[in-house]
Amino acid sequence: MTTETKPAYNVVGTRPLRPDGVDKVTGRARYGADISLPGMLYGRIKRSPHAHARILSIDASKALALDGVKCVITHEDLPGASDAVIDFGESVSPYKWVLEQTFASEKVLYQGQPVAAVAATDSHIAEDALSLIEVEYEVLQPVLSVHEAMADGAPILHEGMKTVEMVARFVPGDGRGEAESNIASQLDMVQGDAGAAMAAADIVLEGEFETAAAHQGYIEPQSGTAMWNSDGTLTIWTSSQGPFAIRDTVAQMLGISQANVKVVPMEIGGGFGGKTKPYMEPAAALMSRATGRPVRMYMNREEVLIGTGPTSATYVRCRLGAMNDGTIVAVEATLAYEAGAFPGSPVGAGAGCMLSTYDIPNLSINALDVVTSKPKAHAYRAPGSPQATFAVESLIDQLAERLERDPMELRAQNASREGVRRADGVPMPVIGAEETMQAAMDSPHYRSELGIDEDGRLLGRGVSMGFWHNGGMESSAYAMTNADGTVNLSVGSVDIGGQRAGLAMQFAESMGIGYEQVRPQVVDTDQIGFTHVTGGSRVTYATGIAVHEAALDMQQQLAARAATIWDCDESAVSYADGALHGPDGQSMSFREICGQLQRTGGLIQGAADVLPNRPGPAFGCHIVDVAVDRDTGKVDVVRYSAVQDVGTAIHPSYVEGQVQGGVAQGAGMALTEEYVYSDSGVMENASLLDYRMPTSLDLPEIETILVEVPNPSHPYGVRGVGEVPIVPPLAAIANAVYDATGLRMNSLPISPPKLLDRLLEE
Amino acid sequence: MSHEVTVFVPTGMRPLTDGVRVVTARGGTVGEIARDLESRYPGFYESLVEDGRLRSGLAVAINNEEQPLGLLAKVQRGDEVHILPAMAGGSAM
Repeated sequence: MTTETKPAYNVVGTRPLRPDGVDKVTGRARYGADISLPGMLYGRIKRSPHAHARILSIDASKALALDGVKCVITHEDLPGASDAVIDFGESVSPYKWVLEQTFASEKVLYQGQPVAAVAATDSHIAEDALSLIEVEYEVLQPVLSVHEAMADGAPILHEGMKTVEMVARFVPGDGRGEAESNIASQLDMVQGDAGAAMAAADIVLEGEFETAAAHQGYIEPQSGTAMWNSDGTLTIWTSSQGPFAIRDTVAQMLGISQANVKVVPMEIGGGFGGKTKPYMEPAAALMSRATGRPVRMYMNREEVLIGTGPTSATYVRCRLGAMNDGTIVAVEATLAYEAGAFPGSPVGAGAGCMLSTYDIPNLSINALDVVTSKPKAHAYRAPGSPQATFAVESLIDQLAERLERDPMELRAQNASREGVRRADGVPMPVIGAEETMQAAMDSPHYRSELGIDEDGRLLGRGVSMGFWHNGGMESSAYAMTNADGTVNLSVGSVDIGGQRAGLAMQFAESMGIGYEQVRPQVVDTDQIGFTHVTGGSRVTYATGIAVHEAALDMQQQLAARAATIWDCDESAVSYADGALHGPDGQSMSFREICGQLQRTGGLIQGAADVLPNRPGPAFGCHIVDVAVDRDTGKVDVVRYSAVQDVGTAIHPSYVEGQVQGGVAQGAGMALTEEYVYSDSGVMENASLLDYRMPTSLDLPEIETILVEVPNPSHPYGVRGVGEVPIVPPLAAIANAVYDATGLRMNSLPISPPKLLDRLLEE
Repeated sequence: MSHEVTVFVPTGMRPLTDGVRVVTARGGTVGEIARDLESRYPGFYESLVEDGRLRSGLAVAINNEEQPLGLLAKVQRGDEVHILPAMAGGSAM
């Protein structure tokens, strides 16, 4: 449902079929691993079995002697490190650490880190060859949590690393601290005087909160196929959220020009932030160059779990001060996020997001980026926000209980609004926090009674807010008219969640033509202007502006052509409602002028490159009912409602799908998903049987309520929607478990054994 | 054209401004603002700029809009200039 009357659009707000739907449901869609080329070799990665070890030697002679093996490469085949910083769109990383994640040089810093790669004539030979590559290690003590990493006397993972105190999320290599440390950087956000306000508060609540590392859980593993052509150009086929990021990184790593690398985006089976950096492509390219043959590589599920970047495990200590009337006056927080083997956790975003829902004048946040002996954390849907929000929303829940207040009314009393400063001091633009809260309070779910469980389970209800700032960044679009009045619309934004449809709808709306007249396609990096990643909830907003601008460009050219046909001044011609209008009452529909273009000067293309910077922050409010089995500790989600300010829902079905998907992933982080490590740092649940993501059988139908407070900086009011919905579930579910059991579960996931232990203690 | 603007100093840079959170500065662009502050707070410019460009990992907002032009972004009289960490997810905003 939507909550506000919006302008009368013809296409925006409807629910047409997606153009890629038939291919995907019939199995014809081609994903990364579907590529097959003549003479193709099969590549595999040799990975470290140790979480922390020094590499003493690598001997590939036996592997190279195996019949069918064509190539083995290691770090020695990579170009030298530089001080460059690579921008992956949802994250940045110093180049030297990108190299180390491609192949370790002196030390391995997590189990699963690549140490070598092999290419062979079939995948079985390549697999056999891995065991013939002999790597001698000196095993070192791993560091497996932020607590271990920050403890006195902890092993220093990066020799010479000192804590950097900068405003930047992290800065490589110029630490200003006195001593070596596993804290790579720290970030402070201070507004007002939190200490004084806390001292004057009527109520002070505090707690420590922990969350586990969780994987993005995309169904399609990473892959990459490279073909080094005889003219020195390189073609890469990959399922990535950021083809241009892959292009630019690989070009830099291989020392070739960006113009000589073409990245062909394949269909992508989910990404959620995890597919914005290269994992396989550089090795495939190097081995293609070495052998003169195309090389295809892809990961198995275990490699995905141990060899790619999940989100951080986190520790948050938080104090909240409030007055007896419910006004929150101060928050103090320390956030320590695991970056994994190399600096760069999303702790800065966590600090920036955790209090953005509320108007809190005094705050002090200290955010720490901590390296550990685990895979380098990578972007995962609203990176960093769910974990920190879990702490704040849990304390607000406690405050409501202490004051005997309705938890949503208490939140609404403290809601942020336009002009209120965020934690970093920036004033909010037009936002819909209050509208979202009100819609939640008005919802059938919130107004319903919890009832009694027929199976005798303990029932509870919880709520939580969530915030994400959303992204802008660069996008391009290119639209070609056809003589029959149709348009081929090309974009560089990979389609993960229905973007082809959403972008074609915006283009059709801008042109005043039908959705069915627009055929959208995602093209390779040779065919479109630079387009940043499909991530940051940015595509429908930023690439949407690009297609709108391309439509305006097309309209201008059509008006000029109509002026030629009508022999009038171009300024006297207007374009409105899908037709051109002349000064003497002439009119010509879009389809009609398309039929005349080739005989009057040729067909027309509209194009645009944009870099919009007002994406429109967004809020979600979730309401959840859980049932707790007191004999097993199992928590079932029995009802879930997600309310979200989406600005304007271009295609409501796909917006609802995004919201439901975010809820499912957040529920996994709350209840079941975690990386389990042995004492030596080996992941013990590296399969989807043991790493437990929720399935459709675990969750009820997720009700969605779309609030529409339009973003004034987008032609149709779009706000990003994809990331907000993963933020509230952690706290909402934990608050519901408390309501059911009286137990505050401050360590996630609330897995059955963990909760059962607490129930038995009680 | 040079304008007077308000600069919000992030916590990590406040040692450069003797702990002051909000300072005024003059300039026509963010880069000129940074140079003006350098004259009073040595080290300020260097903290923001690397190879003539805004340091990687940093973002600048004027009022509530992130500025893709970085140091080249123009300011108007009375603007707020915010120096921010570039967040994961693609934007500081």
